[in-house]
Amino acid sequence: MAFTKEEKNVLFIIIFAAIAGMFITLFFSYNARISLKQFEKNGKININTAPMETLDTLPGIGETIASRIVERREIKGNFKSVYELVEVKGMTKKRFEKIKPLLSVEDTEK
Amino acid sequence: MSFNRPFFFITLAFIFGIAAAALSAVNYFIALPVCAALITAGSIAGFRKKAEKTMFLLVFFAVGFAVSSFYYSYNPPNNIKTFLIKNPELVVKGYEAEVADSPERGDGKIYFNARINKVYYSGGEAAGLSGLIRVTLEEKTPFAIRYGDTIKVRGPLNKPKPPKNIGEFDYGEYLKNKRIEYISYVKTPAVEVIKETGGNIVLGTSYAIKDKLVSIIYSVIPQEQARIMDGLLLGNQRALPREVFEGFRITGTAHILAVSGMNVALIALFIFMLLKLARVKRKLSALIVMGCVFVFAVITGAQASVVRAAIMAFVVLTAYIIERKPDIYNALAIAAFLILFFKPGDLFDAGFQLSFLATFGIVYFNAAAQQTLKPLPAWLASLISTTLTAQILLTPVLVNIFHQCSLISIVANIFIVPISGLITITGFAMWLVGIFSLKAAAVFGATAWALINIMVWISDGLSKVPFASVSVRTLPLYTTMVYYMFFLILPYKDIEIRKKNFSLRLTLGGLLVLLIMLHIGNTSEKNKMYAFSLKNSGAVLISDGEDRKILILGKSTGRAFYDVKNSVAVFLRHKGINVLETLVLENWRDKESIDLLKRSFQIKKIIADAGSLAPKKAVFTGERYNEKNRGTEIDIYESGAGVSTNMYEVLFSCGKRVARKTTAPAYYYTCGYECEGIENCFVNPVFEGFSRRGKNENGAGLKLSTTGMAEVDLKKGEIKNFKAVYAYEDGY
Repeated sequence: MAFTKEEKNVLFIIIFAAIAGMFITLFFSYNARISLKQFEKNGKININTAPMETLDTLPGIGETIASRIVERREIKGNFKSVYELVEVKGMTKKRFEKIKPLLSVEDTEK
Repeated sequence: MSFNRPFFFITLAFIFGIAAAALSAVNYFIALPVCAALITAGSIAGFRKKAEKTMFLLVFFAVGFAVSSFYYSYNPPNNIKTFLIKNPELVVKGYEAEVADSPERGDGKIYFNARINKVYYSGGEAAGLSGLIRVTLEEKTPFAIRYGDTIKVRGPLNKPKPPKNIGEFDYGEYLKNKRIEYISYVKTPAVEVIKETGGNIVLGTSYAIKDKLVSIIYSVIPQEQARIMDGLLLGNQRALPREVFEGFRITGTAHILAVSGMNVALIALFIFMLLKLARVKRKLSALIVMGCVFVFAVITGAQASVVRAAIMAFVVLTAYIIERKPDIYNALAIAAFLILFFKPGDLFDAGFQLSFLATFGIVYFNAAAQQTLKPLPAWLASLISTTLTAQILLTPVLVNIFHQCSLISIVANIFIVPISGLITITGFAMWLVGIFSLKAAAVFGATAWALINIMVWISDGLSKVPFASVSVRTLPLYTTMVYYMFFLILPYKDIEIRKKNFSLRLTLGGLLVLLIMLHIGNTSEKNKMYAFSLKNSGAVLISDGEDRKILILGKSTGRAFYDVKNSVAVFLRHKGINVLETLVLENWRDKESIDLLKRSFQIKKIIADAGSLAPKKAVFTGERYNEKNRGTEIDIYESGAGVSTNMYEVLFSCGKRVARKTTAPAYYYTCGYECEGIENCFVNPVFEGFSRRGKNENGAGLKLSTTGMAEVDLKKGEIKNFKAVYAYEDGY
């Protein structure tokens, strides 16, 4: 299996990216940046008013669950508490605990 | 020099045929039979071996002509355009349509094309219709809209409005080249999805893959950088923050945001490498790579640049499979032929032109450029060569379409292109790993995040260099022709004609330099005023008796940024203006638009009233509020009755203040301007379209009212392009 010069360059870049990425994750609090950066500016996400595209960006929440949240809101009305989210199909306890600190049922804009 | 590539010339003839049909606007009724006759005659003459080369080219010219005239002029009976033309009295109240591509998000909106199938009007509905429309939704739509969904909309269909100001982008013409005649702007409550997941299964699957890739990006990279990654990897330019895009535009590196050859080459290389690791046979690998490239082209929106690159990749990979040597010129010609056969309108698309010209330039000049740059290290020579050779053929197109030329492009590309390549490869690895584990993908996301920050920092820094990008007026046709002739013969010594020491290259080169110098030097426009026709604000450009340019911006409301970006800045570039003597702001609250102007033009002085500096919505920093600070960057005036008059007296060398009886600010410009027998009249060009008015001692006044940009000759007092000018007697 002989790689061409270009393929070796690509392989080298991928290995470098992985090593550099681990370094950045360890020393620059990168994981916190992913979870909180998009919400930092706006405070918590109001699950009664956030559009699907915003709910979609919550960690662990894809388009399917985001659209189910919106659907539940439309059918049964506003959530009275963030804990009511567990009623949404696909919202496991683990997923909910991860996003709970980012949620609110009212506006908390800074 | 040998250039024995018949298919290349066939494609050129085909392109000329398309252009001729589009420019002559011949209906297909007439064009098709004429072309059929030409094709038959050409084929017969060709078979009889009478001037077969010429006849062959004529045949393909006729084919291009026929295809283009059919594309532009044929509409099936159930087409929405045909339907609405036949029923002009109908007012469309709503419609049903199927989403025809993957919606793009950006600027607070969602954009997509849709295939209309039903319209609702007062008293009825019409089903079974066809045709594409362009739909814009508010981004806060609380449900997903996907390819293949059928939507029901309450709202009208409109024709795109023609541009109102000189130099503005003609959206209607752009859509017409894609056979879209109607647009629909929809607010959230007026739209619902009535049927999900229709459409073509191949496209549907590709878009589902795209959604997954997009969600990986936004899950493992902070949002600000994720938007840039979305633009870099998937070509979604709308996702980019405005100032980032401006930085790339000014530095001449915006091409990295158009998914094209580099992305396709990298994805092919990436997959080849993975398949090699998996010990897949090489020819099978080539087939798999072709499939992946096809999917990549679809998910990135199948724009001309990526389709061109994909077709060329197919040609090269096919040659690899059948063990033949590929020819790049023929590959380029095949790509052009196939794209234009199905979408002749793409010939006039900026993306198509830039993509093909850049590729042709790189291939055509590469050998000569590499030879010239031999003393440099190979990697640097290659980088400079690629940038330079692409720019050679692009420059006239960039000047004529965008009216700008980036002087810092070569330096910027040396830094930014390699970084974008690293980001692309890291992004591919991130996607691959992200399918299985987002946590592991975040490692690559972290590297991409760092690289994106570095790239944006470089682009931002370089874009602030004075004259990084200069405005250039549209080049005359003869200058463009001399330009291309000169550069096309440049690499080839044997085209030089030597007769009594006459050298074609030197002659063309000298002529080109002279024409360009005359063109750049000839931007003087004295005693002119241009009043813009804007939606959310007012603007006037004055060129005084000494050709000094003064731009006045007034009364911004909400979306003034787009007025400045899409109309004012575009006009300034169109006129080749690089320096503004003064920028005057009256009650101007949009900071982003001022940043845009400061980046794109050299502004010597800014005058702002207190309305522009009010806290919270300050255009400039709060410490400047209520300070007279002459001689530094900003001169500030207190608000009140005198402020605007003061400013105008300062500005206008021939301005004369007209006495007035009101205490509210009034704006004057008189320079011996005759207003149809009304003496001492004055105009209020900044607030054209608004209701602000004034009157003089005689109780008579005049408001310049236009439905488009007004051009005023200040010396002669003549106005062009106005629709209504009327006298009135009431005050404010």
